Amino acid sequence: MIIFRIDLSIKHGLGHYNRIKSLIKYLNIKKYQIIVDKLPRASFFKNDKDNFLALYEQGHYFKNEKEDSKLFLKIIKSKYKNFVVIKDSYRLGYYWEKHIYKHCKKVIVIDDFPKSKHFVDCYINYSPFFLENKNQALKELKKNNKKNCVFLLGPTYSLFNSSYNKKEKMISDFIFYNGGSGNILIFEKIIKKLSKNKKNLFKIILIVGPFAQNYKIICQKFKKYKNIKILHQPQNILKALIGTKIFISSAGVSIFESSFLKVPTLLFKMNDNQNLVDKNYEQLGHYFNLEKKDLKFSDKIVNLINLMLKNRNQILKMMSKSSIVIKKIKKNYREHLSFIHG
Amino acid sequence: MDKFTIIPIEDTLINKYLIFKNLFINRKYSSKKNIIKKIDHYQWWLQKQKKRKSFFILKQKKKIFISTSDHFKFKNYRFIYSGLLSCLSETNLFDLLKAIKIQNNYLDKQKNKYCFISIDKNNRVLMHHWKYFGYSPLENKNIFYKDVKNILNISNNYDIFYKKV
Repeated sequence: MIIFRIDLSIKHGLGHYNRIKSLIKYLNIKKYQIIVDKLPRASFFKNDKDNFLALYEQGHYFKNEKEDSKLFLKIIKSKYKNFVVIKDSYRLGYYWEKHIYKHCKKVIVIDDFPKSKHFVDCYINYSPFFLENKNQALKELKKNNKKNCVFLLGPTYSLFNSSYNKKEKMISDFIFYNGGSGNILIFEKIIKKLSKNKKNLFKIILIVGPFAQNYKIICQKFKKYKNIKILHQPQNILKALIGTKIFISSAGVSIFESSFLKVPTLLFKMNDNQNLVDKNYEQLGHYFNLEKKDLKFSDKIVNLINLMLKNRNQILKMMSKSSIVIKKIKKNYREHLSFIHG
Repeated sequence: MDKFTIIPIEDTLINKYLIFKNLFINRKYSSKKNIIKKIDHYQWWLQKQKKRKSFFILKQKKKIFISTSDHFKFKNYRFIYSGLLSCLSETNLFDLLKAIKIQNNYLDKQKNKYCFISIDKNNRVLMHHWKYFGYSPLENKNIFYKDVKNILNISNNYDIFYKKV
């Protein structure tokens, strides 16, 4: 049995869930359980309803690693005997892993921070950071981990959704996305300015994630704009991404999806974990990376988006040097994680 | 002996180019002293950079300067406005003069064009060397003076020099 322990909430977003879903798909895992603090309510998760298990009862919440690991083991051990744990959580670290380790067949971690300490059999971090700094970072990772840990590092182990139905392709000029829980209204001024362009009536898609709490307000705000379509908690954003000309997004997991589809992208670093340097984004083909604070220059951003559209071929040429080959990624995972290959 | 070479500037260096532009050594003698924001740089790149003919000057395969040349038409004349950007936070006179020489080799290959450079009046080093590269001062009475100053948006803190190739 494969047990996933992940962060999934309005606060933590959708990223961890999306990553493990990709891994499940890559490895064709049939039987699995996803342990979360509380069961997600959004209809987005309905297909996975039976695979979720809440760790905390009503009125109880995450306190610390120690309590969490105890509760986790109590629940899992009562249900399964021989299990592999895959953890994707920023809150649970070395202590949690060490505590559960002896009860598991294997412990695997998916991480974003190369300097954090772990106690696992397999460490996954697919940040492009490792393209340049692999040897130095590996030394540090080895120091911070248990012996014989297998390290799967760099974009050749990227976890993102790569499949979509070509028949469902949605055509647009621009897509705005602020992750699974982000507020799309952070782009409101820019969207409204772009949609009022008199020369071109741009087709704009707004993707609203399953944890976004203001869907109704968003609908209300853009009700009058006939050229704006709101896509609420889509199971797959690729069908929209593949048909757009410019993607405007937070620099989350979708950086891999737009890199894979080679869609010219304007990124905004919205959170502390979106902390890569330009060079790392460039390795994925993303050359236009701004900070959240730049959003206050809405006129300049509108101008930049228009310029990106006008010079799309130039940007596509820039992107052509990056290559995420999904077949290779799947093969890599199947080779290294053969013990959980479904 | 050090080997100097040139390579074209590709679009993929858009972010690196900004790092060079923002080096203090470049801002010191530039008309824009402030740090250039990414949002402004990206717009400039997609509008202006592609019209520019630029190349890196390398010393022993290390980027030391960027030679920039803006080509434009004015009435029946063809103008080139050239500049140099350092890729290093410190440079030396020998490398600078070598870079100017390499830039001049490029300019000398252009035909029937007027080449302009502007030099900060406080830049004592360059103010002494323009004559060695065939430039003459663009004086007030010159027919191009007003227009060139306006088109290139050159402030009074700068002297303009030109040559015909």
